[in-house]
Amino acid sequence: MSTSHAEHDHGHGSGNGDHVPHVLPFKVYIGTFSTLLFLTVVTVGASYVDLGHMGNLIVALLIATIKASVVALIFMHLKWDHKFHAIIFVSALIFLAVFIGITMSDTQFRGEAEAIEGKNPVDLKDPFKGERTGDIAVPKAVAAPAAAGSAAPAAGSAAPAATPAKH
Amino acid sequence: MANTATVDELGHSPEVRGKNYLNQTAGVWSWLTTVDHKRIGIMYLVSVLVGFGLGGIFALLVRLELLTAKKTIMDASQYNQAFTLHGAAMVFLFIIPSIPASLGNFFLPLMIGAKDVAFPRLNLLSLYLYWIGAIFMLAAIVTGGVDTGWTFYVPYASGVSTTSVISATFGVFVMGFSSILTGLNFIVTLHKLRAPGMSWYRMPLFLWSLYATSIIQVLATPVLGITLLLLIFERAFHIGIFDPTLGGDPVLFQHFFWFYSHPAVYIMILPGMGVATEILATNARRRVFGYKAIAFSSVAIALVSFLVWGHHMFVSGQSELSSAIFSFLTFFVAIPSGVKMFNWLGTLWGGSIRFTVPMLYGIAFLFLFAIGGLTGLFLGMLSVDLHLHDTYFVVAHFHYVMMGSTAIAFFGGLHHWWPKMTGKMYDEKLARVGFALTFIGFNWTFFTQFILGTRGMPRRYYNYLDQFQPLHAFSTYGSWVLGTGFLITFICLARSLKTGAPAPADPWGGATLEWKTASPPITENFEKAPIVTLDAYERPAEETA
Ligand code: HEM
Ligand SMILES: [Cu+2]
Repeated sequence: MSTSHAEHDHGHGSGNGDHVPHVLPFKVYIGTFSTLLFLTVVTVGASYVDLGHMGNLIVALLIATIKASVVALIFMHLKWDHKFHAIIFVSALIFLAVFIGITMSDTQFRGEAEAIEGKNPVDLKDPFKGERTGDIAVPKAVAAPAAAGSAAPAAGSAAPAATPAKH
Repeated sequence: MANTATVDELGHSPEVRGKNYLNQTAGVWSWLTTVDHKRIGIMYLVSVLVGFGLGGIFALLVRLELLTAKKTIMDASQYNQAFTLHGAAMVFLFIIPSIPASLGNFFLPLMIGAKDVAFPRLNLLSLYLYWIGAIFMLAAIVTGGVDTGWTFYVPYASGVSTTSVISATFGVFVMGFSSILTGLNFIVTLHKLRAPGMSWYRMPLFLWSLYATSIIQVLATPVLGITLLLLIFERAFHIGIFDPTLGGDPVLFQHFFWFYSHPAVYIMILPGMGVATEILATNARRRVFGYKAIAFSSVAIALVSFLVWGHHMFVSGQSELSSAIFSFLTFFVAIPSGVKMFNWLGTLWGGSIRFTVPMLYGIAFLFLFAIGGLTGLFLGMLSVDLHLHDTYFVVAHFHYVMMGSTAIAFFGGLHHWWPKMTGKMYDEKLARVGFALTFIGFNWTFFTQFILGTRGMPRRYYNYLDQFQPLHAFSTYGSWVLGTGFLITFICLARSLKTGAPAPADPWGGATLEWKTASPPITENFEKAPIVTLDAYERPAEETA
């Protein structure tokens, strides 16, 4: 793929305003295109091999990443562009990875201390229906003082004002 | 600089003398269509001050309601609206645009010796977007208010509240674009338009802080935009994203929201830190101690701020793993903040300090930010926060950082640069009175709330237990002193426009470029582009000799 393009490196992205379009030989585009097609076939093929939920996910994402890189580097010419743009591009990806990655440290690990906390409540009026365990208190009767005091702090907790009154 | 007979000490030729950006052209239309960063800065300044006034009125109403443990002046749902509008106005109309869009717009080009920002028209567009967003927020107030809190938590905001949530969030959405465009403009301006000789390390530190702020604005604000859009879609079309009854995840909303809003607190504080640096350096008449440390700590704060958002969610139901990670990471924010603090103190050490009005604000900033920042560490401590979350302790913490630090720095900067912007000197005595009442009233109001919080007074409650009443009343009295302080400050500044003595080009003996042009500056800022030969805060040899 990376044929003799070293000569394109200068005069390009050297910040001299006018952008000279960067032209690649036709066969490079064809080569890239067939690589992408080939990798698509690999993706489909890999889905038939059982590597476990995580395994399949990782393989699929890996192939997708390679494909995206090829598109960005060659079709979008990032490879021959100003280095600064590559840094910006990669930082954007890292930034997204941080956001999604750290958020997953929550969504993938809920309920480790208290199993039912990891479940999505089915019935909002009675979120822990029949699944209360251990130290989660079940209010007796209609808890009068609690009801009086709860002027529902509008944004205090995300829990949908769980009032398990019918217990 | 080459002084010839026809050029005055500022390098201005007779043709421009007496002309400035204020009197160059006249009429409302000339302001509304201007692309001069200084005029845009002034219009922003007026706008954010109106926002501040609006938020302030709601603040006083909230405090008044809390004077007694039961109903005082309004009912419960009015109370919810009052604290929401207070928070939303203060955050989105005032504090986020405050320093960057007003003082930053005005002084960034001046301080690097440029004629304007890189994209003057975009700059005007950002002001218009701010106004459009503000109109949507005002529309929300008139058409039913908002009662979700400034955080718009779901599912209350997306499915339950009967108030004008869509209009308010759409307003914030539009204002977000204004914020992004300003940030983008500043980044490009700093990269491309520095005067000859103005290297990165010669830039005044205010500009480093604006640079760091701009990075956050450009990176984080789109996430808020998307979040609010999703919220609007869920509310309007019942698409299930956050609402559990529709199959959504409410905690996800908090991730999205705080992924913007924690970095946003650094959009608020970093410019304040920058202003404080300018004030301290000018009035201690020293070069800033640890220039690079302060510069890079701004950038470090910007980057670390993206890794700690979950410390707002310790009791939200997020996983224990997540909470532990976020608690751990939160402490890293304290390092660059501490670096700054010690370098400011190092700058004061051995300086010949003059206690001008801006300097009083500067010193108050150091004092109040120390309290605000340190109490943040209490809250970042997972085990401690489980008790303090959603109590008045949190309220006190963020008022110490937002009001005590950022707003104080903003008003310090306003006094520091007022002569430059308006060409008028204000009455020092009256300004001191305003400052003193503000400072006393602020601590009176909010230190009390630390105590209330540790004793268990929950946040955002309309009625409360009788045992909290004396402290609540005490805090309310403080808010009146605080309000009086601001009123006096405004009167002082407004009066100076009419009766103030004309300001010299450099009333404080400043060492940065904005003092090297006329007060108020000419439209082109500098008649000849300055050539910078000195480091930041370095004074010419003959001046110190
Ligand atoms: C040393 C730096 C800081 C640390 C470690 C810190 C930590 C925290 C933590 C852990 C909370 C959540 C408390 C809770 O809800 O239980 C919090 C709340 C808050 N902080 Fe800070 N903080 C710091 C600086 C700042 C600054 C500089 C600002 C603003 C200029 C700020 C504004 C806020 C706001 C607005 C909230 C409350 C948000 C809400 O729930 O409405 N903080 N802080
Ligand atoms: Cu935070």
